[in-house]
Amino acid sequence: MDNNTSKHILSVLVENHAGVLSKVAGLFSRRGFNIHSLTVGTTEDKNISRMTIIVDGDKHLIEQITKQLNKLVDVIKIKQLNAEDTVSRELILIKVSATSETRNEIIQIVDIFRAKIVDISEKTLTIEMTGKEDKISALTDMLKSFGILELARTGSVSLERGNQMLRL
Amino acid sequence: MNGSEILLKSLEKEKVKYIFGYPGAANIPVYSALAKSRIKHILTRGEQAAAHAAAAYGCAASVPGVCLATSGPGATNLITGIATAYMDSAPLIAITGQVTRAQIGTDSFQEADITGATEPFTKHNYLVSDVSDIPKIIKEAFTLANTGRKGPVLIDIPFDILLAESEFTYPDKFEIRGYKPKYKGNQMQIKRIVSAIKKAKHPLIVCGGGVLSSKGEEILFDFSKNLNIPYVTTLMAASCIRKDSPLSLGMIGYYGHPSANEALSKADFVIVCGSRLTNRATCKCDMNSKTIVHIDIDPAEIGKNVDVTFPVVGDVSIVLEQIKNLIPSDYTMNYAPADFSQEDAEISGDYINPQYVFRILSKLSKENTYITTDVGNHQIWAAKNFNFKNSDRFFTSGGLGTMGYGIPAAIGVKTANPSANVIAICGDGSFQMSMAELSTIKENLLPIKIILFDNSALGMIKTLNPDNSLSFATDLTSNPDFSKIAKAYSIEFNQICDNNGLENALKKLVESDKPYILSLKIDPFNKNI
Repeated sequence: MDNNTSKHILSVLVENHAGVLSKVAGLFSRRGFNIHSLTVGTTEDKNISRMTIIVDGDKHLIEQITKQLNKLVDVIKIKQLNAEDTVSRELILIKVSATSETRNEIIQIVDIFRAKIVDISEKTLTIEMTGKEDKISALTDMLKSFGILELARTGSVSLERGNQMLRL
Repeated sequence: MNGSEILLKSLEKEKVKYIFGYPGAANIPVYSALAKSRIKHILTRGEQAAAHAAAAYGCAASVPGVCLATSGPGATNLITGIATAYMDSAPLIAITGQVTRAQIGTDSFQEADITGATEPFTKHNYLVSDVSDIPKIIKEAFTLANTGRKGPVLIDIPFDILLAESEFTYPDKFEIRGYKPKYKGNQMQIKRIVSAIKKAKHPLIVCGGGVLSSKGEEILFDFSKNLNIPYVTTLMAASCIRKDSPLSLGMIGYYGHPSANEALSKADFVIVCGSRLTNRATCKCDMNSKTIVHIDIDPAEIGKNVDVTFPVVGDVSIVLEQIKNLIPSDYTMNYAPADFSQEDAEISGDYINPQYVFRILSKLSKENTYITTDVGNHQIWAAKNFNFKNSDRFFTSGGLGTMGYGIPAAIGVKTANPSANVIAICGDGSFQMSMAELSTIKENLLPIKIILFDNSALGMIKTLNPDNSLSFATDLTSNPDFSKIAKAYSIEFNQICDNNGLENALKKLVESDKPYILSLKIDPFNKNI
């Protein structure tokens, strides 16, 4: 087994049944697979949901994860996405501490990242941004010094570029 | 008709003949419908036993066995039996009552989240949400339980659904798009394997439980004979050992035959058939530097524990035939046969020699002998020393190693095959875990034989504790007088304490046409497995 662990993107089509998320989460937890992020939502077909799961692991682990997932009756199809040929986006909401002194500087950073301000108060600013995972992390780093009060990230959703696709 | 009647009608559509069960408040409506059905109910004395009996029935009959329990503690008592079936890929349907839909999630009386609790141990499970779903769920459950890699499926039915009225229509087709087991091996891969076989110097076949599941014993024996490739077996396939065949090198594993473990270590080309190759099976062997062909119906088992050179997903019987068809008929190989002589333990000492017991039993036993075992030293003695013939079968809890399996499994296999000669092998520890099922044996007039290896201890654990410091936990100091237990259940009993009376005692056991318990007093410090 090689020790080259890295992040892998799995796109998984599942039946839109109650409890599917719990089954997948349970499977990962039980077998010690580490989930970096997991998103799920319905697709163009309301009976099917797409999960985008980012996992840490080496090649052997990813193969086991994929095979164990396939054993779940509610899992229809799985594809491992190649990061280079994939569009991945994540959404973040960050609430930072903002006084009249620091507000302008924060707004400058927001503009540079082409993020949006979605809430303002005397002491806070709430920022929304969509982008690749590394861009999200960069914004978070830049805003740390102002004091991040609350932060909510969705985890990545991914689709392959061009004509490659995962569908029924 | 109501949900219970729809349930029973659906089970009848699946040709179910028996249900092993235990009633409770939440599943009473099922029993009302069962009373009017042609399906026969076998009341066990505990739900774990019902699950073991149904799973063993499924393995023996090659159709899913069905067990039925009530909600809450009835359902949770099934879990051990379900997990046992899961680990050994037994086809099992578990039906549980549940509180009403409105009560779910409120910690109601006898409420348990059994679908959540059994997720790790079921191939799939259902919480019925509408009475009209029952037929489709039954059809899906039976197909899932008995195809691909077989396994347990649980169906949890809320009380109000059991009473709800609906029409009965049974689906013709099974359609789950996420379930497509593969039976035929990839032909390109088969070609590559055939080329590689020709280069092998020390080839070996590993015969696992999957061979039995696939009913591929004859195919494997022929394959081995035609190519002159010897085979070893795992515990689950111990009934494939043939001491009179030079090709059969014994059982591998932690408690395996040294000859088998040695053969596997030495092999450079291994064809693994229907085995998961767990650490328990390979720990006494060096698995490095080998070309490994792994044939299994479950792709997730291939490459999980051992790196594989030629993975083949498919049914063992079908794949072995595919390989055989591409190999020239005059092709044979050379190998050294095993020497079992040093493993035939010496008959000595004051106590009964357990290995000797099975050799005598093999001589005396009739056709269609079904041996079920519990878990412990006796299990290993049975697997390694009974000389199985083609009509004989071996049922044991290999994957989970569940004590309490032996007697209920005997009930299950006898029910599946009334003409089989069923012998349950137990230790005094495991016997006491399912002792209550003697009542089930009595009630159903099942002429099951039980051989009880009595050392007043948990022998296998005791052996793992050489300085005997844990005797407070491994010694069974307050065992009942088993002769009185047998008498309490009106079951014939005999006890032997030395090797002299052994052959006669075993003869009487084999020839009896009634339930029979033979207790054999063995050395509490017997370390020879």
